[in-house]
Amino acid sequence: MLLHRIQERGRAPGENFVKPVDFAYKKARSIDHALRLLKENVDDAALLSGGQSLLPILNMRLATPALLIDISHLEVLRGIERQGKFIRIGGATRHVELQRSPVITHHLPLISRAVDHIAHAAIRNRGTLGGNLALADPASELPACCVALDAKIELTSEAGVRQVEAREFFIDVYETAMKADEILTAVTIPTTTSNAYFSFREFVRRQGDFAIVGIAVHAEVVDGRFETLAPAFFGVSKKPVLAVRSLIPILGERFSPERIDEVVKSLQNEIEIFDSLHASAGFKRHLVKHFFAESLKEIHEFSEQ
Amino acid sequence: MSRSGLIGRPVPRPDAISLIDGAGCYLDDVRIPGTLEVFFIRSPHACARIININRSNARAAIGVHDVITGKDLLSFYAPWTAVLTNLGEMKSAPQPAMAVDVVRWCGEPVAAVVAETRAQAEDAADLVEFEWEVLPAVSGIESAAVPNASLVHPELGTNVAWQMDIDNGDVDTVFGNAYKIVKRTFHIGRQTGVTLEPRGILAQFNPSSRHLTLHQSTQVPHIQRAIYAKQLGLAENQVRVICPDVGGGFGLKLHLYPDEFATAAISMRLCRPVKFVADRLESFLADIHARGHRVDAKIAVSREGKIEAMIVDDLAGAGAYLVHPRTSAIEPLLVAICTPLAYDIQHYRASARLVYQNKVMTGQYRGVGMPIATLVAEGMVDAAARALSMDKATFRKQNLIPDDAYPRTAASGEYLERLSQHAAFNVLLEMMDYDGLLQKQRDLREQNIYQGVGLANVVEGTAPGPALYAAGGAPISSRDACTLRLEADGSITCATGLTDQGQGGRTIVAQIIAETLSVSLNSVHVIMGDTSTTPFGGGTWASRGTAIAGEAALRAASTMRERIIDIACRLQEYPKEQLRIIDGQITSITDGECLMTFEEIGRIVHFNTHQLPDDFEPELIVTRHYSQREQLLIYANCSLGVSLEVDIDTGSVHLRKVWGVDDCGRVINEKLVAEQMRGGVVQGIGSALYEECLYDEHGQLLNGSMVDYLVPMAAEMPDIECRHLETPTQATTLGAKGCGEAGTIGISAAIMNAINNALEPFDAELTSQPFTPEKILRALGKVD
Amino acid sequence: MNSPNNSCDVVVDINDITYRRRVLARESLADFIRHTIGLTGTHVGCEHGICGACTVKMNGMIVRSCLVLAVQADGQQIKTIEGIKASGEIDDLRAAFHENNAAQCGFCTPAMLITAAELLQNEKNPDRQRIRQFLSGNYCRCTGYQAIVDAVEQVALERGNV
Repeated sequence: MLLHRIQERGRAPGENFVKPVDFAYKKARSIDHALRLLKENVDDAALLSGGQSLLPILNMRLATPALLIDISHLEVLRGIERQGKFIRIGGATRHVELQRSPVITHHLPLISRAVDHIAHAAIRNRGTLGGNLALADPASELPACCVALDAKIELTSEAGVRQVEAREFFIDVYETAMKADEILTAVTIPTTTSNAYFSFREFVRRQGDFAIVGIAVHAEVVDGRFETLAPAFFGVSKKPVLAVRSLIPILGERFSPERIDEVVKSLQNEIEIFDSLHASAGFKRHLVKHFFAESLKEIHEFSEQ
Repeated sequence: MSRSGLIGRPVPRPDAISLIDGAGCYLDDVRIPGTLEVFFIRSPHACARIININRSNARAAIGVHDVITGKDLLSFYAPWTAVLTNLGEMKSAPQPAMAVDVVRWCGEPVAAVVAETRAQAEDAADLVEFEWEVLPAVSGIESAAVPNASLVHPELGTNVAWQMDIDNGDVDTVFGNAYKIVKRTFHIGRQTGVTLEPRGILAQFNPSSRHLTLHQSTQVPHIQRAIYAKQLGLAENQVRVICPDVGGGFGLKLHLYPDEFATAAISMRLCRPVKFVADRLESFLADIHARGHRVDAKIAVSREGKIEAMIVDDLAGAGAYLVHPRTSAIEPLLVAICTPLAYDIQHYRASARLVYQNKVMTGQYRGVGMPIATLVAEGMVDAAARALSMDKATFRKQNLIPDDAYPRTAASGEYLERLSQHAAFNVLLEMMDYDGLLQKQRDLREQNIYQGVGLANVVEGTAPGPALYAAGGAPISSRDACTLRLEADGSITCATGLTDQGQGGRTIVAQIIAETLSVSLNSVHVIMGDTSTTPFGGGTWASRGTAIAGEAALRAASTMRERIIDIACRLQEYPKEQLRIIDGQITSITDGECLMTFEEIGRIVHFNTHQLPDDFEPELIVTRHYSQREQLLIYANCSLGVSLEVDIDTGSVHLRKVWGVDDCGRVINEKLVAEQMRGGVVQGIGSALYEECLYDEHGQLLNGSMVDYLVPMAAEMPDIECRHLETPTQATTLGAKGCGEAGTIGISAAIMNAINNALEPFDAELTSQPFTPEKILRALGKVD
Repeated sequence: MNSPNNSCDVVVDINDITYRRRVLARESLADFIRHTIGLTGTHVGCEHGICGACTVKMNGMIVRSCLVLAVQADGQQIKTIEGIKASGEIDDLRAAFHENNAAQCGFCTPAMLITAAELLQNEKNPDRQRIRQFLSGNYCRCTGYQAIVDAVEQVALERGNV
C-alpha cells in the first residue's frame, strides 16, 4: 500500500490512537519472497524497513495495513559500494551506516553532512535511506540531497528493475513515483569530483527537528564560474524543489553579489512556498533567500581556496 | 537549632538511587490481577450536541467488556461544579465525567471502551458510531468576550465566568499629571505542561466492602480522596488514594480530571480494577492548559524615573469549565494581585476577567499567573526605562521596594512580610557582570552582531494559607503533618502529608528530622503518598513543601527529641538538663558518657515494658502539624538575568547564559534549590521561546503531538548559574519559604527584555509570547 | 483485518536471559519489555519516537523501543536499564547522576543513562555542547538538563584520566 493516503486522512481531531491495528508480520526470506508477498497483498501490505517513520504512522492508525513485510535484514538491500564514478547504496542501509562510512564521507560529502541532521542517534541507528526516500516527507534532508546530486532511484518489482531519477521521483507530500508493488532497492549517486562543492543548511527550532526550511546544494565551479549549480530546497514545498530557471543568469558566470541578488528575486517566482504550522510562507521566503545567498557565498569562498 | 548538621547541607537524595536504577514504580508499573484498560473516545468537535451513539459493533469486539456512555455513568456519581466563594461571584456550570448531551471542547470524553488491553479497546473504539449536531464554537479569548459571542454555557447567560477589580490610591489623578505614560499590550500564548509521565489512575472498587482504592499519579492524594469520595457518594474513610512514584507534576496533576474520575466510576460499575493511562496525544488534548491571556498595561513615570501608578487589565481564558476544585480563576487573580509586588507603587488599578471558551480547561501550572504578572511588570519597567533613556538596572534600583521597608502592604493590597530584592539584584548584577555585558553588546553591534541583556525581578507567592482556596469552599489544605515513630531497633520512620514528584521533599523532611534528632540521614525512612498510612496533608503545589511540611517535620522531631530525652531521664534517673543526643545516642553533657542508645530505648519501650516505672507509658509516636494561616501567600524573591544573541537574518535566539539569585528564606539543601531554579528556568524558556497550543478556527488543536508542540531539549539550553540568599520568614521556626517556581516565573520576562534589548538599534519590540524567530523577523520588517 | 491469529513466536535475549514468548505482531518492543516480560525500568512517554524515554540497547546500539516491534527483536540481544545497571558498566554514570542531582522524578533517567553511556562508549572527551547535542533526543521536564550534562561531563573526564 502507498502511504500518501496519510495526507488525505491526517489525524482526525480528538483522535488519540497509539496502538496499531491488528496486522500480520512476515519476515521476507529473500527479495523475491518480499516482492511476491507485496504483489499478492498490494492494497494492504506495507514494507517495514527501519520502521522509524512507519511505526509512528501505524501507532496513530494513520495507516492500517493488514500485513507488514520486513525487508530490513535482506543483505541484498544493504551495502555502500563504489562502482566506478558512482556510489551505490542499498535501500535498507541505515543512517548510522551512512554516517560511519568512509566511502560516503569521501565521495558524497553532502550526504555525510546532511545525515547528522536527521533526528537523533537512536533513530539513525534504525532508520534507513530507502525508508526515508519512500516516505518523501517534504521536510526531510535526504530526498533534497538526492535531488541536488541527481541520484537515481532503483525500484524493483516482480516485473523487473527500473531506475527513476530523483528529480522525477518525488511527486507530492508522502507521494513518490513508486508503485504499490515495488521496493526501493538502491540509490545510485555520482561521486564528487575535484571541482565539486556543496553546501547544506537547514533552519530548525531544535536540533534534530524536521527542517522548517533547508537547502542542499551541489555545484561545480571551474575558474570561479558556476559550471553546474543544483540547489534543492526542502521544507518549503510539497516535495524537494530544484531551482533551475532562476539560476540561468549566474551559470557560467563569475560570482558576484549583484547577480546573486537578481537570482534570489526570481527564485521566489520559481519555487512555490507553502505555509506550515510553525512558519508562514513569508517567513520561509525570507529564509530561502538568506540561505541561498549564504550557500553560494560559501561555495564561492571554498572554491577560491 | 544545631550549628552544624544536615539542615543546610547539599546532600544527594537517598531516594533518587532507586529511580536512577530504573527501579521506580510509576502508575503504569502497578499490577493488579484482573485489571481492565479503558480507552476514552473523545469529541472531534469543539461544540456539538450528541444525537446518537451506536455501540453495538464495538460491544461485540474481541476483548471488550463494556462500552459506556456519559448517560450510563451518571448513576454512579454527581457532576461537580467548581466554584470559590471567597473570590466574589463565579458563574460555573456542572461538569460531567463524560459528556451527556453536549460536548464543549474538542477532546472531551464522550464514551469509554473497557477491554482486556488498550489495543483491543482502540480497535473497538473505531467501531463506535456517532451522530453529531455541530454547534457554533467560540475559541479565542477576545472572541469569547464580545457581547454577542456564542455562549459556552447558555444557562449562565454569559461567557464571563468571573471578574475582579482592584482600585488603590488615586490612579486617575496620577495619570492625569504624569510626566510620561507608557502603554503596552502583552499576549501570552496558551500552553500545556507535558509531564514526561502522562496522567494515570488505576481504580479498584470492592463491592463487598464498598471500598475504593485509587492508585493515581497525583500530587495531592488527600485532596483527591476528599473529592472522589464526595462525588461518588462514599465516605472518605472508604476511599484510599495511593501515589506511586510520579513522573512530573508541575501542577498538572492537582486537578479533578473527567477521564480519571470516569475510570473510578467505571470500576464501581464493573466491579473490576480499571486502569487509565493517558497517552501522549490525549495528554495534549485533555491535560489542563495554562496561560492564554491578553494583558493591557499602563504605567505613569516621573521625569526622574519613579513609577507613580500602574494599570493592568487581564483577559484570561478558562476553557469550557472551571477546573475543579481550584477553579481557573487563580491565574487571572494572581496576575491582578502580583504584577505590582516588586515595586514601590502607591496607585494601582487592576481588573481581571475570565472567559469561557470551547477548549479544554485551564488550570494551575507552574507559576500560576505569576509568570504573566512578571512579564508585564518587568516588560513595562524596561519600556519605561527606554522611554526615559535610562539604564534598566538603575531604573529598577530606583523603584524596587527598599529592603528595610518591611512589613509592607503592596500596591495590590498584598501583605509582604520581608524581601531582599536589592540585595539579590545587586548580587545578580555582579554575578553576570552586567556592565561588562553591556560593553560587549556595544562592541559587537559594530560588527553587526546583536546581543541582548535582560533582567527580571520576581516576587513569588509560596506556601499558601487557607484564604486562597479553603475559605472559598475547596477541600484544599494549607496545613501539613508529620508522624514520627521510633522503631524497636531505634530507626526512625516518618509519615508525612507531603508528596514528592522529584523536587526532593522526601530528602528535605529527612534532613530536618535527622538533624533535629541527631541521627544519620539514612536512619530516617520517609513514607508519603498513601492516604491510609500518612497523616492528612496538603501534598505538593505552590512551593509549599519545605515551608509547611518541613515545619511540621521540625515540630514533630523536636517533640520526639524531648520525649526520647525524657525517657532516658526516667530510666537512667539522670537530670534531664544534663542529657543531650549525639549520633543516635543519649549522652551526658558533663562527661560525654553514652547512657543509652535509640535502639535500647526502642527495645525497652516496645518489648521490655517491665523495665519501665509503673506510672510511665511513653509514646514513641508523635504527630505534629503546622498550618500557615496568616498570609494569603508567603512571598519570596528572586532576581534573574539572561544574556542572549539574536540572529537578525533568521530570527533565531541563542541563549548564552542565565543567572539567578534566589531568596527562599532558608536553604535546607542547596543542590535541591538550585535544581528547582534550573528546571524552572528551562520550563520557562519553553514558554518564552517555543511552546504554544495552536488551534484552528473550529477550536481544534493543531499541534497535539511531540513533533509539533515544541518543548525545550538539551542542545538549545544554556547553563544556569545560581546563588542564594536567606531572609527567613517569621511565620515558622524553620524560616523556609518556597523556591520551586521562581525560575519559571521570571525567565520569560528576562528573555523578552533581552530580545527587545538586542533589537533596540532597530526600534523593534516584541510583546507576544512565545517570542519566535518569525515574530522577531516581522518586528524587523523582514517578512512580508 | 481483525484476525486474532496475527501472532508469532519470538526468542529474545534480554539482559542475558533468553525469553520465549508468543506475541502479537503489533506489540511494540516497549510493551513487550514492560508488560510481557515485566521489566518496568523502560518507560513509555509518547509512542511516536520523540521523547526518548523508551530507549534501550539492541545489539549494542541505542534504539527507541516504541518504534521497534517485538517480533523484530526475535533472535536479537536487548539490554534494558536493569541489565545495564547489573553489569556494572555504568556505575560511574549512576554515581555521577546521584551526586549531581541529575535525576528528579526519574522518568527520563534510565533512557538518559543509556544514551549517555552510548556517547561515552563512542567518543572520548565530548565537550559540554557535544553532550547536550547527543542527549537532545531525550526529553526531561524536571532538571533543565544542566545537572545531567554536569554528570556526563564529570564521567567523561574521569574516564579520560584513567
